[in-house]
Amino acid sequence: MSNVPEGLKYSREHEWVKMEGNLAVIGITDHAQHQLGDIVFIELPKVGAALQLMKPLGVVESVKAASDIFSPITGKVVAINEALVKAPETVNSDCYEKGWMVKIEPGKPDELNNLLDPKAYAALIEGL
Amino acid sequence: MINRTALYETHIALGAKVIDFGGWDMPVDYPTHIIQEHTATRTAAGLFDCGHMGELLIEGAGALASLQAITSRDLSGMENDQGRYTLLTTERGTVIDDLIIFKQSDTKYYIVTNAGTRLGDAARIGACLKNATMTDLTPGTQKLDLQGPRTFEILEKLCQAPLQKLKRFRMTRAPVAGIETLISRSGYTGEPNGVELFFDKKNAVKMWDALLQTGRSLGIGVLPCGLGARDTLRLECCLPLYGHELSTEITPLEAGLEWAVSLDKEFTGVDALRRQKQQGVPRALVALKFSGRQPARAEHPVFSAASSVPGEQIGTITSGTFGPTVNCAIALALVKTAFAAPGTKLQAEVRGNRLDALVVEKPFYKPAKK
Repeated sequence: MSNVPEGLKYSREHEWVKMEGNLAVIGITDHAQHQLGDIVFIELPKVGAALQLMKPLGVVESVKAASDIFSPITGKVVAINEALVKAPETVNSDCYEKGWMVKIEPGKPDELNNLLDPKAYAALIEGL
Repeated sequence: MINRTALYETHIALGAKVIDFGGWDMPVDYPTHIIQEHTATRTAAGLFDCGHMGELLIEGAGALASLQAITSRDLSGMENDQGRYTLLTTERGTVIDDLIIFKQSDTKYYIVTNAGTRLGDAARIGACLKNATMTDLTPGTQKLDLQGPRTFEILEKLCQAPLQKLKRFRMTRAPVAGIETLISRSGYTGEPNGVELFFDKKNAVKMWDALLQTGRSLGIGVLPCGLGARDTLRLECCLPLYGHELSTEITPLEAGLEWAVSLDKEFTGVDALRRQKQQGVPRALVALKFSGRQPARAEHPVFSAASSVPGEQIGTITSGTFGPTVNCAIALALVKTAFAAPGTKLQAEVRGNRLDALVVEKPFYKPAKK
């Protein structure tokens, strides 16, 4: 069973969002990392980059394939997780904490209301 | 219609991720994932469901002559139960499929084909038989590969035959776990110790369970492995995959398989291949080792890194991945022959970025012989 922690918001494309003060921390879910398998490379945006809702914010390469990560909200990148460049497998082992990918200053805070709560996301992946 | 092997339910119960491969629902990986499955095969043993692959039996006084006329490698001089890797070729000398052909007797040959190519192979071979008949054994046959350095420790517990003495590309018949089995010392992982087992598919689950349970009871970390690990294992050892390094658009000389082509024998496409040999191949399959971890993938374009030839695409990646044992990104690519020498600096373009790669000697990894 995939882990779906409380206190986070989720996209239908398997990203999670955690609010830390004014900033949104973004990563991919346990379900997503499990589906991808062993992650060997991660391409993240530059600090300062403008992200658009549902547009790719980066790419994860597992052994078998490349997959886009979609931005669950609009905003500006204020930090990226540099540690993932050297140790991308952290996303497999700890996707909700050490495996965070970017911190964003949300541009349209209302978009957060369109994301799924843990119960709805758990139901979504249950049906896959 | 999608096909399933007799182990489909077993894979689902193990939590495998299933994909369509050559018209078959096959496990790409289990919850252990590719790197762990790959490493188990390199260090202990890996078990692979290859029930999707094809087995054709050719029988009759004309079996050898018929096969000689349509495949690239001389099959004469083989002993009974000896096998050879060879290619089914077109008139242009390109490749319809790569096969292993075992001689079972002077009038009986056992052919192992790929999954997606099996029906085309059968049509092609069937149409060319003279004084011989063909039986497609695939529907009743299960093939299981057990591969890796501890393969024979497991088999010893389940089989009385002296399998350690079996040479590469030889087969023998013996009961394994009480199941009549055709055992071939061969495989698609590059491991010198490995077997391919062929038996009645009604015993598929029994054989699968016996191999895994025996391995575990011996404390051998044997793992079920999916097609994902099969791909990384074969790629580290530079074994070609049909549809990638071989196709009806690629000749075996371009793919570096001249050793599997007997240019002094008559077979379909030999004239084209002799011409190509004389003129030199326009492109060659090379092994590319990347400086980083980011894999290039099939179809990505390849460029020269030398500033004297800027902007010119000189080749294409045929397969690319992250090699778990070599611990870096690796690929095979078809490139213009002038850029094929080991030591040549090339670049692959991945999503607009150029990744530095070096042409290296094949293979990337050569398992130690025991």
